[in-house]
Amino acid sequence: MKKALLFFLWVLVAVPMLAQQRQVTGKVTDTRDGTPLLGVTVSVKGTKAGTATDVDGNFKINVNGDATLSFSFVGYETITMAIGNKSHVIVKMGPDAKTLGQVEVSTGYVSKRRGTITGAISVIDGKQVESRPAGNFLHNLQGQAPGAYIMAAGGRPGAAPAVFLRGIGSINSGTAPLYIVDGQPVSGSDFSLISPDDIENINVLKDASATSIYGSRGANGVILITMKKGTKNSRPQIDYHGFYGYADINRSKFKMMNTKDRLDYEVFIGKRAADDPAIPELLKNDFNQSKVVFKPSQTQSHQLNVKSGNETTTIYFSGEYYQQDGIYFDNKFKRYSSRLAIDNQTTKWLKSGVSMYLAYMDETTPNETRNSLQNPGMLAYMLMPYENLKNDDGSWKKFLQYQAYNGARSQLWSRSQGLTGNANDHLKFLGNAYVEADIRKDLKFTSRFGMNLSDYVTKTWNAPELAAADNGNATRRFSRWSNAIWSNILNYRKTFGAHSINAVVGTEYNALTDYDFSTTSRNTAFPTLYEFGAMTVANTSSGSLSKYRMFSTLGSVNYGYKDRYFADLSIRRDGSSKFGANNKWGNFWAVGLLWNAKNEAFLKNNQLISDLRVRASIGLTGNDDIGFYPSYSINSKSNYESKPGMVPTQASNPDLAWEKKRKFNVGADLGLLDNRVTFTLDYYRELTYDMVLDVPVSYLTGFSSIKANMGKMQNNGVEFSFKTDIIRSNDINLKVTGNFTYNKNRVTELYGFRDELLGTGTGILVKVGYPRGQFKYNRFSRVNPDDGSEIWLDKNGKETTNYDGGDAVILDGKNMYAPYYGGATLDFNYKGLGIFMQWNYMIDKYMVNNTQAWLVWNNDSWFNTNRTADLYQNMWKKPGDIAKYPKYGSSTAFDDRYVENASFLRLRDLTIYYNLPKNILSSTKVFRNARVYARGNNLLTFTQWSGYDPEYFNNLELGIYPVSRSYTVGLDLTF
Amino acid sequence: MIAINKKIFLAAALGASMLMSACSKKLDQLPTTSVSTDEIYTSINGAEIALNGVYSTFYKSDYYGRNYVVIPDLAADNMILSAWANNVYNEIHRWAIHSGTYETLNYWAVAYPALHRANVFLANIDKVPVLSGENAEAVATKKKTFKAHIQALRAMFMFDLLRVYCKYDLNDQLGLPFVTAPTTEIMHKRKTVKETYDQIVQDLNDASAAIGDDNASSQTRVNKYFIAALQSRVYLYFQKWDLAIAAADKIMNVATFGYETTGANLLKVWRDDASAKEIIFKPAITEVNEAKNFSIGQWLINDDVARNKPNPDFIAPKAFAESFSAADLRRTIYFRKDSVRNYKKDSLYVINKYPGNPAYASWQEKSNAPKLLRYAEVALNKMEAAYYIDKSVSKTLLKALRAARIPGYDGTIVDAYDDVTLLNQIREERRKELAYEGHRFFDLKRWGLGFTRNREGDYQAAENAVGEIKADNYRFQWPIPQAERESNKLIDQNPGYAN
Repeated sequence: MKKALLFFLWVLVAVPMLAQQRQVTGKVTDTRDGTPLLGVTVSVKGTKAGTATDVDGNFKINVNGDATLSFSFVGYETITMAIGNKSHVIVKMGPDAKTLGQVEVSTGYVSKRRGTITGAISVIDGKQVESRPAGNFLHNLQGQAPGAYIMAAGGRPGAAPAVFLRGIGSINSGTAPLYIVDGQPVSGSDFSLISPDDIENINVLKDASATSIYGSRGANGVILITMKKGTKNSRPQIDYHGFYGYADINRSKFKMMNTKDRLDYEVFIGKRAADDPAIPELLKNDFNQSKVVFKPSQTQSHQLNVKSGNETTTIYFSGEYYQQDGIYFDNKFKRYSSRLAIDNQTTKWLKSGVSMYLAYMDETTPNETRNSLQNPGMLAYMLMPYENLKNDDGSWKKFLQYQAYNGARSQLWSRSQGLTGNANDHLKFLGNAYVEADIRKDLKFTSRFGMNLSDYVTKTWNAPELAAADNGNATRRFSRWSNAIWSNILNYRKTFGAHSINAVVGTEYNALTDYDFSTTSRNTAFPTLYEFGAMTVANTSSGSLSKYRMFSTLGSVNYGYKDRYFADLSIRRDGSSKFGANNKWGNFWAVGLLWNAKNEAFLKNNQLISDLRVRASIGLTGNDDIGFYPSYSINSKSNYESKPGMVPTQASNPDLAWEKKRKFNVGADLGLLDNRVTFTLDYYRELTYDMVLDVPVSYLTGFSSIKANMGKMQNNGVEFSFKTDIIRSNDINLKVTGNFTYNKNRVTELYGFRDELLGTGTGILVKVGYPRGQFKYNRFSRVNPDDGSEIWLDKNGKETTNYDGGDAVILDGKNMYAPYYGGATLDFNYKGLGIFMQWNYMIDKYMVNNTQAWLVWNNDSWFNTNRTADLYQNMWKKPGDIAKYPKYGSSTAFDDRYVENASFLRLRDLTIYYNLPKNILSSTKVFRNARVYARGNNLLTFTQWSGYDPEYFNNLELGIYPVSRSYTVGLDLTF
Repeated sequence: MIAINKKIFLAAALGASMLMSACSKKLDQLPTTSVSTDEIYTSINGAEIALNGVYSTFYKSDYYGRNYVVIPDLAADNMILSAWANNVYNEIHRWAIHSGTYETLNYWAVAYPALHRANVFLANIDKVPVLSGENAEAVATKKKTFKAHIQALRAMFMFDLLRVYCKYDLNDQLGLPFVTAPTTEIMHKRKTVKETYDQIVQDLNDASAAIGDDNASSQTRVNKYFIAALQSRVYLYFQKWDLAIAAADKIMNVATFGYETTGANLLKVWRDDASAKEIIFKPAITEVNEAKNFSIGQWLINDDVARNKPNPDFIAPKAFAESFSAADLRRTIYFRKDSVRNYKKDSLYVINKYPGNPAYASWQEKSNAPKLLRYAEVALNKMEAAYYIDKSVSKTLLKALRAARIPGYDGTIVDAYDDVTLLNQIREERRKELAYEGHRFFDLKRWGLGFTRNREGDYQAAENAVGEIKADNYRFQWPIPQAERESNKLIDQNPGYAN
């Protein structure tokens, strides 16, 4: 019945039209490799008729007589084709060099065409960070953007690395860039809860023109992250990304004494009789304890996402499971995340949408206390080689016989038994909702409200077996961190004749509240129960509430003349609760200029040069990352005899204001041969001044320091990057990219009355005329051949047997921050089989090998722990010995012996992949894309560093949780 | 689709933006766990809270919580560093202290802020208003006694600094740098020892005049006995014998003070921190957080419940422990002969003066309040001062002390002492009685005596046999910490140190 009715209708409506209309079919492919292009818009000129290509690049369209078809696709040159009376056409489309300049780049509050931007912005494709075995994707930016200095602060899965752009930008305040995810500020550690596979791209904003619109938070640069969205009018697309693999300890050059060496050493120093009857028994065991303590750990990740869209609504949603165990045996990290983004054309003039990210992270964390022998990273080397740590069944022994360092040994057993431990779980909501109204054709109003909400629970527990006095205890800390942002932005964008304007004015309100409490309880009802319900005595509790509020007005205008000359002007005024009563408000600004030479007549038709732009900018930005209440006079709780007591703990400074940074940048972008080869070069000078320093004062003031705006520091440097598609053909493709940064940091002024930053003991010096991170240590001279004691050099270079902190000298050129760094990638594929490599390097980076110091000290305090293999051979034994290490019993000291060059070149990523051929995939009718790969991370490292891992963000390396080496196999599927 | 009226939408959006501009009041955010100094001194209750804050200085581990009690014995000849001890106090024990040594900075960084707190209190206390409903007279009395407390504490903190950093010589130029009102000046010169001494004496005299009978029966707050005991100590250090005796008599003439004469009661002094007769002042321990500040026994004994045997970081020299006669009640109370976890060859003398108060055991193992002012010290102060005035008084006091500590002690032994022997015996008795209470280093310095530390066995860290330390060793005056000198360019370093 239904069919009959339909046929009747068809006859009525369609038959009369058949006379004029006919169907044209065709296929659209990429000129470069012949792959079908999906989603190309095909339209009939002069009519409203249109369609899009399917997954195989095929399309069908009805035309009247001899029509002209137009094919357009983002990033490709639009093709117009008169088809005559053909009924089947083959169309090849190539990338459009011109449109590269037209690509819209988000600069935060407004997006701009790439060819109009006066600022220094690096763009990283989300593909460069997805599906890597790192719990925090920031690790994967290492070496990928010029100017970005990224360094692991330990290898625990999910731990955030240290990140800074264009040198370290502050002495005392925060140095991390501002991270913005779809308009919402987040912190670097939040990325342990964000699936990298949801990231569309990452824009790194560096100079004044790009960052001063972020005002008091822009000084350290801005990293803008745009998340994935659905695409309009597209067939639903499902992507699966998954990998599985394992990680192991990366590298360590420490070689410890084996049983024989160890026993010889013990006999020599008189701690064991040469004829000790225990020796033959001990010799039966010879363990490399680091192999016993560290374990290979597994990693897996699965992510599914769906993109879809029709005329009015687009949608993206995803779900992810990520699991990574650490190489410390009691370290586990799991993440579950899900994202939903909907954008809707609500009325003709109003667009609205929401995006929501919900993630849950659950981890058990090991003891990674740096300054502790209980940390497996330290313990692994300190355990005696003749000690079997494990029972026959493979479990850790409860009591060890030969490792005597207090408590350290029990860690293996007690943590593996779950008798003590730490665990965190973290719930994150990140979302925003917006409306965007077209007031007039050229004027758009956007109001966006975003919320970044984190609930963080930290747990520790000790079983009665370990905490006998308490009969078991447990601690919980809960913290809730919320950061709400509401921005209202008016965007005017118009071109009149030769003039173009893209202007923005707006307001923004930012409200951050950090709230926490923690409590401990003890006396458990049953030894295996650690929840509070089973504990009978509540012990202690504490908590705090901190608030930060910021209100801002901002404006910027991008003016262009004849598409050749552009000027950017931006202004922001921020008021913040962090600052002193006399300095609540600050103004920030920038001016940028651009000459887009490609659009000049003399280059317009040049075949070689496809892009040439010259940029310059100058401006002022601020840094407000200095804590919540730095300007107040503060008295804090300090009770006596159970009665309330308070003591002054911070001196007030009502004049305290932002740290300021003046930035200057000149740069050029050059593209050759349809941008198959591109170069970007930038030179910058950045001056941080009015730094918020803890100004050292006499302790007679009651404080060691008072916060004030003082001092100056420069970061001047050069950044260079290139991208080339060296070979681009149907079968063979080769892409090479690379970047290099040189940054020269120098402190040029501190307090005026003093040219050295206060600080004793650590060996890091901040001094006028020297870079931040300068090492200063006493100089070791030699071991006295006569008596085996240590001889140092005093500050005048004379030998002395007296170690005095006052003899420490500045070690020129030895700095904890590498001045030279960068990376390179190579991607080669042949008929779908490819190899991808990513390298990064840091040059002239120094670090103190404190682990080494702990492993070679040669006295009673360290006797009970194993020592490095060469200690016995190279220690002073008798008068006349020219020895590397002093005699046994030397109290020793910390000096320049342990400052080592930690420069490195590392093969961060090596991937071998295979993209399944399209024709095979089409025949399956299921898959659009399929890719399998095997990936190794940190496979090779070239360095002189003699200890653990050279990649560690600290001046001291002391039993760190090392960055691991991982091997994964993965699969990407598109349905 | 429902048509949204564009004009209404825009008006609403604009209105909302305007509303947001009104939020700038929100920029005044105050801390939620702390208050400003001005806010504190707006009532007498607030002032009392600040007063308690000054008292809380007694909880600092770099001061009386541990360091100031342990270090004077560890730096001298009453303690030896064990072979298995951690690296702490290494430079102190080896006599290698320099201006970057943690302990000198850490102590300085506690004591000077404590003086600042006292100064802030004294500068503000007179401003405190009488609030409605309060009795003006009562408030005035409180102000007066609070001030006396603070002045006495300031004198104590300043004298403790002087003991560490200065010579006890009124002609010496290198006294302490100090102020008596809050300062924001970055640099300060050292005053002379005389000026420092005068300020201490002045504060104690003022406090003494104003304190009256406030807290007279308290052992955990300043009272008239606290002040007198401290005065006797200060005068003794500066050889003001008459004044030292007069101050000591303010306690010795009070019938409720005296010696505990039985072993059981003496044990209570040290184990239970309890004795109305012997203890004049000890920091208060009334709750878990306070108990946690005192863990001297953890260092000296360290026998947690799980592993019964002690594992002390510092132990008593054999000869010193054995110099207490077998009949001496103190021998078994001050020392515990035991094998230790890391040294099983034979028994050692574990220092047992801080064995852990059972009353605090559930809060903190091995927690005892140090007895900062004691009857016995006052008696010893007088005994030593009297030697220079009237030796018979000294002998009487020495006999009394020994009779109390050594049951059946034959007083005629003391009667037979010649002058030289008497002085040596007074000093020896002081060493014994006040061992491990933070006196030895200062007493040696005061007497102009060096000492010799002997190597006695494997349990002693190899690096710690320093041999003889002569009386003129410059390290008897600790170095002004580098951190102070780097900002305070006006402060002179003590002679002998590299910088």
